[in-house]
Amino acid sequence: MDATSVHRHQSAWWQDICKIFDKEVLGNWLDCRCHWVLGNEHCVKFWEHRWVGGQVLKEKFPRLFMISQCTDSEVSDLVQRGSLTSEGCSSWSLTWRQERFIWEKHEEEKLLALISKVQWSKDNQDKLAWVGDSDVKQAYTVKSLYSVLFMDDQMQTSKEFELLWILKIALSALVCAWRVLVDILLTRYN
Amino acid sequence: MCKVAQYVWDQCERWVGSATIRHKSIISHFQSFSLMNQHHCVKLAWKGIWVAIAMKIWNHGNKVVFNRGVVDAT
Repeated sequence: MDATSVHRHQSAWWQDICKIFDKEVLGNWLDCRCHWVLGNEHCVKFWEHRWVGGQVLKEKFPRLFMISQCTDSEVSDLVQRGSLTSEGCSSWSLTWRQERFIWEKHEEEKLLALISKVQWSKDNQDKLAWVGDSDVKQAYTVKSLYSVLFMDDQMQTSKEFELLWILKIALSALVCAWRVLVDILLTRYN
Repeated sequence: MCKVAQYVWDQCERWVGSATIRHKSIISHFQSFSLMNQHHCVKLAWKGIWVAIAMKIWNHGNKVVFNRGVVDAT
């Protein structure tokens, strides 16, 4: 899933929003704040999608991803039949291309410990959920999106602007300086 | 950065007796313009000077482009 890339079939509103928060500045801001809740429909990729621990597994366990034989598998493919309970899945059929080193086995144990605790909702489809700014509250609110976007460190420069705005000089000069600083001055380039 | 604008900034820095490096981004330039002066009021004064210089350069640039002004920073 690449939620913040712009496609033609998306609504104009959405394209504009994606353009404003472009990738280079904020990263995949939407991807980072969404995670998959597992259900009975099989579309969540084990290594590629964010479904456990707030991180994509291939980034969290890069070495294991390299030696995995099932890099393209879905989560449900790797669950062993009958091992799925209400408390999670205890047994996984992960296969490796080669014998693991000891440290890789430790990694594997960590991985298994992590994924065995994941809750499944058997009645629902796989769905994307909003993570938000706290672990407790998962409902999407405008406020949580705002805090996510504006807590990012690129906004730290706003401290400097505080200094700017309390200067006692002509407002037009202030606005001009602000435009210079945030690079929206009307020049040939902007 | 525009050569003339750079020259103006250099002149101003020479005038206030401080030598600074050439910053990559304009924000770090703004931030560092008062780095040596810790006191709040002094800091504000420096920011004011920065705004004045930036404003002057901008206005003069406009004059050159739209009103047949002359580029002469010396």
